[in-house]
Parts: sequence; C-alpha cells; structure tokens
Amino acid sequence: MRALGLFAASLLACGCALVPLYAEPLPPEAERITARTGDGWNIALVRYRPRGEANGLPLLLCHGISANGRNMDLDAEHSLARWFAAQGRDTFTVSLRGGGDSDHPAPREGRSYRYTIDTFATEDLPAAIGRISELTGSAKVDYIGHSMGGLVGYIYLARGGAAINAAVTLGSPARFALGEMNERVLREIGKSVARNIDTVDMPTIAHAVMPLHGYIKAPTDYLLYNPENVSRELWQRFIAVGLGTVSGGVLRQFGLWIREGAMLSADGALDYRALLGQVRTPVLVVAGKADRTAPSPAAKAGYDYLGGPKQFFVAGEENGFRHDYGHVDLIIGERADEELWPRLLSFLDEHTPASP
Amino acid sequence: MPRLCSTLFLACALLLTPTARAEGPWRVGKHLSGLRTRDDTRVALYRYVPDGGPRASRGRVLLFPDVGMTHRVYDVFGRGLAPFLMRRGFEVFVVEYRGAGASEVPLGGFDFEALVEGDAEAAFAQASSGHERIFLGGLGLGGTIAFMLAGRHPEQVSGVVGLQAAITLDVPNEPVAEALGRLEEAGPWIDLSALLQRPLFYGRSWFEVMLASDRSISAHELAELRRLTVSRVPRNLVAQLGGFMKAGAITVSGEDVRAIAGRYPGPSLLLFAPRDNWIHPEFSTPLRDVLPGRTHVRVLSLVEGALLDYGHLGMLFGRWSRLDVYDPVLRFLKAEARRQ
Repeated sequence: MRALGLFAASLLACGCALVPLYAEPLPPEAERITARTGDGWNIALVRYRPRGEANGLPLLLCHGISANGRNMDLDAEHSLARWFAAQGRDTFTVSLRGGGDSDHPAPREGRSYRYTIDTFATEDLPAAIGRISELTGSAKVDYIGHSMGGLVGYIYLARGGAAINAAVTLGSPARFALGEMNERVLREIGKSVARNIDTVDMPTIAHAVMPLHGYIKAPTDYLLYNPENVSRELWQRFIAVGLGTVSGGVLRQFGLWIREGAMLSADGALDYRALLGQVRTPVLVVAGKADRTAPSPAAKAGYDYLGGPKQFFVAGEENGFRHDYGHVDLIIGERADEELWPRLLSFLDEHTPASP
Repeated sequence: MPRLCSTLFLACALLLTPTARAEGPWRVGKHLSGLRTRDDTRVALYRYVPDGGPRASRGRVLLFPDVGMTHRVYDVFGRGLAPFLMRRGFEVFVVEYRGAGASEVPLGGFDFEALVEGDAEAAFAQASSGHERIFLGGLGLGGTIAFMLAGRHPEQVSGVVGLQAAITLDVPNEPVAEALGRLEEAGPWIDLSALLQRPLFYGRSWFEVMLASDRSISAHELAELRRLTVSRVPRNLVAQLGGFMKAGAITVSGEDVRAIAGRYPGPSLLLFAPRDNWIHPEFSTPLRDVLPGRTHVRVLSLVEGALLDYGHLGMLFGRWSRLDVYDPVLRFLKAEARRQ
C-alpha cells in the first residue's frame, strides 16, 4: 500500500514538473483584471484590446466545466480571444470561481465549496459584465459560452439578465435524456457525487499522467475531442493549462438535471427551460457533429427552448467543414479560426446595435 | 405406363425445384408481389420467407424504407437487415413506395399522405393478414411511418424498431437549405440518385457526406448503394417535406405525428445515429419523449458502447452493423416475440 502511495506521489510529482513544458504563457498584450462578486469572491478576467479600429460591443468569453479562462487562449495559434481581438473586438476571458486565477474555495476564509452553476450565473457573470462595463463604458456585452459556459449564459438570460446583447453557445447541452448507457453511467456518478464530495481536483488528476495524454486513448479523449481536429500536442497543452477544479455543488446540480431530465435551479424551484421561452436576446446555438459530451440533440434542445431570435448550426462536414467537430474542437480546433469562428463573428456583428 | 412415367417426372420435378421446400403457396426466400392501394396505385411488396415457411416463423416484421429509397436499403443482393432476419426465422416484408423501384410511378407525383394512407396502410393490411400482431420497423422517415401505423393500430403491433426514426424535422444543413431554396427551378421529378452523385465538399459527393458520413462502408458497397438504394421523388413531396422542416413538425391528415406515435403503448427499440447528416439525431432523439410504452434506447456512438459513431446508411451497411444494429434488433424481436 505504501509502495503504491509512493508510486502515485512520484507520478504526480513527475507529471506536475512536466506541465510547464507543455504550457505557453499569456501574451504580453493580455491585461489581467479582477472583478469582485457580491458574495466576496475575486474573479479573474483577461483583456485583449482590439487590434486596429475597434468595432462592435465588448465580448466576454466563458469556459465550461472543469476548465478556466485559458481555454479561450491556449497559444498564439489556438486563441478565440486573440482572434476576436484581431477582428476589432474588445475581448475578455473570465475564469469562473474555482478556476484559473480566480478565488478558489477556502471554507476558513468564508469561501464555501457549495457553489453551483446558478452561482456562476447570478454572481460571477454579473460581476464580470459589471467590471467590463466600468472599463469600456458599454452597458452591454456580447457573450460566447462554451459547454457549461453556454448554460451559465442561458441561466443568466432566463433569470432576466439584461446586459447581454447577443450570445453564442458552443456545445452547451440542455437535454440529458440521450442514450441508456450514458444515463446509467451519469446516474451512478450522480449517486457518488451526492455523498458529499466537496471538490474534484481535475488538474491534479490529469497532470499526474501528463506525458501520456494523447498517446493512450482514455474515455475522456473520446468524449472531449475529435483527433482529426485536435492534435496530440494541442490536447496536451489544453490539459496543461486549461483545466480547473469542479465543486460538489456544480456536480450535484448537474446530477439533479440528469435525474429530473430538466434544467432546474439548484434548489429545484425554477425550471430554466420554461423561462428560456421568454428570452428575446438573439442567440446562436452551435453543436459539434462529433461532440460526444454535448451531442447535437442535447445542444439543439437549448435552441428549442429559447424564445428567439435564434439560430442553430452544426459544425461538421455537412456544412463544409473539413471534419466533424468534437467538444473542445469548437474552441481550439486546428481549423476553427477559418471554418467556425467567422460565423460566430458575423452573427454577433449582425446583432450589433447601430450605435453601441 | 406413360401415366406412371409422367407422374414420376412430375414428382422428380417437384423435388428438384425450389418449390419442393414450399409450405402452402410460399417458397423459402425472397418474393415480389404487387399491392393495390386504396387510390388504386400498384406498389411492390417484398416478402422474405424463412426456413420452414410462414407457419414456422418466429414472427412477422414489416419494414419501411426511408422516403426516396428503394427496398434495397434492407437488402443489397442478400446482404441487409431483411435477409438477416429471415435467416434467423422471421418472416419479413419490405414495401417499396410508389415512384421507387418496382412500384408504379404516378404521373402527377404524390405527397406524404399518399405514402402513409396508400402504400403503408396497404402493406400493413397485407403483412398483418392472418396474423394477430406483427412487428414494424423503419429507417428515417420510414421509421416515422412505422410509429404512425403503430399509433393507429396499436392492438395489431407487437413492437416497433426505429432506425433513426424522425419525429420532427428542421432544415438539417446549409446545402439542403440551399437546394430547397432552388426547388422551383427543378422539374416535376427529382432524381435523387443523380443529385447525390454530385460533388459537395472536399471531393466527396452528396451521397458520401449526407448518407454515408461515418465512412464505415467500403468503396465497393458505397457504389452499389448509391446505384440501388435511392430513387426519384416528385418535387411536390420534397416541397412538402421542406414545409415540415420550416414548421418543425411532421403532419399527416392534419395531425402531428408526435400525437399519433404517442398513442402507441407497446414496446419499441430506438436506434439513434449521431453522425447522420440526412436525418439528424436532433429529429429522432425527441421520439423517446412521446412514447408511453417500454422503450429501449441505443445511441450508436463510441461512448455508448458501439464500435463507431454511425451515420444514416452506415447503420445498415457499416463494417460493424451486424454487431451494433442487427443483433440488438434481433434480440429485441426475439424477446418481444417470446413475451407475447
């Protein structure tokens, strides 16, 4: 047992030591900013000022579950943030609480592990948008959310949030009844999560086997990306800098959604699906054809619930893409800057008010 | 003596021809017969009789091809779901809609109602005659028709298999949206076979991108499928399907198929293909929400235990279809046949 412990510890030490080899630091033009939430957490933002003449509203990019703001700026060639800045958008990335440089849970300092997806939408997102408004003078922002980041956007809008001008959700699942095996596995995970897990430290787990990522195909590889769009080196970089911890509260809320087959608030009082019908903010819903984490029927459900104006689009070969897109391909795919992101920009531009 | 000789000759002839294995008027194997629909159109019905004849079969199965497809989608020269089930003891019927394959081509075209009220109902009446209950199955919009019939005749249906059966429609992608936008320029008939051979993206044809998207079909079979499985469809039918896409609902005789299918309380097996670019999984997945009966759902995806992420025709002719599709269908039919 002791030997096993020593082996695990040395594996972790080696893996963590190797992480900097795969990482690339933020570019010099990136400005680190902090927003303070109403419940006292510091939320990290990074600003990428527009290159050339600014146009359109400020843009906020939000990552998914178990991730951080670096998802949106992995390196010079795979950066949604730098790409939008190059198109003239004043672009911000956010790391939700528990991820990146934002505050992490610390019960002794009054920061509980119990935060939920609702907390991101009611505390972190308003704080981030408020800070961007202070810095730019714009009362509204455009918003792009990947995976759970899109769901955070849905919840913000469903709860009446009015500071988003137009939004894009990328691979954000709003339906949880898909296939029997998937549901069985998720239910089992849900049961163990219900037993008071405080947090899942994904970076530590993933970094322990850092050099092996991409070489050995784990279930997460199948779930998260299509190797035709994401190279091994790119995936390793993503693992090195793009992961964040997940709180038990967030997992429990997902568990509730899977159990009830509905997007409910953490206390079960609100059904966001019904509230989304009242949303009149323009939303573009994008699904990856090869996305096994948020399959296209799950992403399409979000589109179906929205009040509109709205658009739905599948990132795949059927629409002229070189390959079908997996879950993280939508934000870091090798050809996303040519195939996908211009479509997001044109949707946001289309809904930019005449005089921002 | 001459009389004895002729009797012996007849006996030998009977023994040497396939009719020797007949039970009643049926021979083991595949047969083609014609059906008259209620609007007097002649449509083809293929019947696959198992060893031992109809009386020895484990049950009857009526399969509906996707709209715009021939019966070959279930049988390309002995390979396919229909002969597979026949060889395992089921008596299988496959209808060929008007305008396709060996069926009559109505000069004035036809609409979706004609396929349901005419062809599908006539095939159902024929396949269920003399049997208390039968199984139904269908691919894409053929699956939609199967569930509609099950909703209309629930007491006569043992179970339904939906292979990417659509319960709603939406414009699936940009090329289809563009083609629908140019529909007025098309003639009264659209030759899907010719259309699907046209190049679309990256040197791949419409057929490869839309129908064989999972790349699990060999090049040789792909060529055969392209030649044999798709048919001509009237422009008015395509326009009607385009209307369903815009409305987000499939309706027959003024009623939404979700309501019709919702009246079927029996068991069903739903197989969803996540990489299908013809009938999207977004159109088929909501079917599980409307069925009140016992429903088994299998997503043909790697993360659900399948050997690959399947597309439209890959479900039936892919490298691993036998394991991932045929066997689960057979298990479902056998289990439900035993139960009943």
